[in-house]
Amino acid sequence: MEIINILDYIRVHMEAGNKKIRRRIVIFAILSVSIMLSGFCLVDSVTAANTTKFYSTFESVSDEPDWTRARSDGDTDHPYMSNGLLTTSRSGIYRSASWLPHNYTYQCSFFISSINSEYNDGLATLLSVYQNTISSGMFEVQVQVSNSAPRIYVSGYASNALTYDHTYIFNMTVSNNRTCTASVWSSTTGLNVICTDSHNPASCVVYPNYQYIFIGSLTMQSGKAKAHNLFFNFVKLDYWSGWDSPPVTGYDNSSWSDIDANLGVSVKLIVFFIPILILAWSFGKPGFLLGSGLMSIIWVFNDASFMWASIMMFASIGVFAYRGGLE
Amino acid sequence: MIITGWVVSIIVVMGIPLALSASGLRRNGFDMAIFLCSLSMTLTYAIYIGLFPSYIIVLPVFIIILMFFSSSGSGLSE
Repeated sequence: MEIINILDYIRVHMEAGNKKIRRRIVIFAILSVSIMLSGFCLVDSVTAANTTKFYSTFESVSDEPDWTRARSDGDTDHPYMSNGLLTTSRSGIYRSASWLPHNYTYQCSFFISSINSEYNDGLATLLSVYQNTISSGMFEVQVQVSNSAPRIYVSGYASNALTYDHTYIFNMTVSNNRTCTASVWSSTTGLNVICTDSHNPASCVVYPNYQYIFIGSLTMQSGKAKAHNLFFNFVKLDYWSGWDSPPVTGYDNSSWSDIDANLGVSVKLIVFFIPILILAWSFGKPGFLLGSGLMSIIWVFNDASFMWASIMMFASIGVFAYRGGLE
Repeated sequence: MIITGWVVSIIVVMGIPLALSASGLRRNGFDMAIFLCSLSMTLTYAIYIGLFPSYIIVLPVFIIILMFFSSSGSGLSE
């Protein structure tokens, strides 16, 4: 019924011959569609640009992997892989940690989504993670694909097998000499902490309050099949409880702050709602319904990896369409 | 700095629904239905992109229930 109301609203104004309203409808329709298609699709590069601005040593995540080359390597079953290695590792997973403040413990996590996974058998059982220490101060996480015994490898320690839709978290401590240690646990098993370095109990402590540092997400995709999302997030731990002393902060933190960390995600949030705002302004409630529905659909097919978020988004729109009161 | 970050986050998340509902001022006045729906959407999106912790999801759920059991189809805007 509400969709009919939207169409009626547009039809009435178009048939009324009101040139002003008709012109406004056409202009804002063109504007909205343009912004939807260009603005939101570019939002990842926008946030990446922000991240790069604040963390100048951070490697951009906007570089798309060369899927064509991966396919030409002969692995037609799993176009994401090349010679057993994930082809996105260089663009998405290699991270420079030289900007990270030292003597802090960072909580890192990754998430393997099963949403839209055409190639379940290809990746779900074929993942492992390495963390290495590099003398130059670069922190490196590699994802390696193998055909058997899926494991997380952190500092050479093998832990739980990887499965879909679980968030795997590990702590990383950057000390003054920029060495990294880590521990791993699974979100599904609670605080099942595995210490990899008994000399560094910090890696086994869970801190309840922390501030996200948004670095970006890696979306592995190939053509129209957006199969897997692999997220790497670095989280700065702000509170040190059950610890002898707070960490020494011998670094210059003037170039970044929590506001900077929030800015990237805020930009993404705002850009998502700009087309909705334009449509709501031009058409009122029908425009809001149309804009939010379209943007949510675009978002789901572009970016969504958590089913609950999609459900919540469409439930909001649905209940608005049902009870929102479209005159 | 953490508090400041939270203030910025809340301003962003609350500002979008306010702007959306105020955008209908010309036609409908402040629209509570648009405000609630967009607040639910921004909260969901904010949780998804990591701006808010996941337990905030209680709020969108509450908003959806509130809207669903509202008295009439157009009652929220009046």
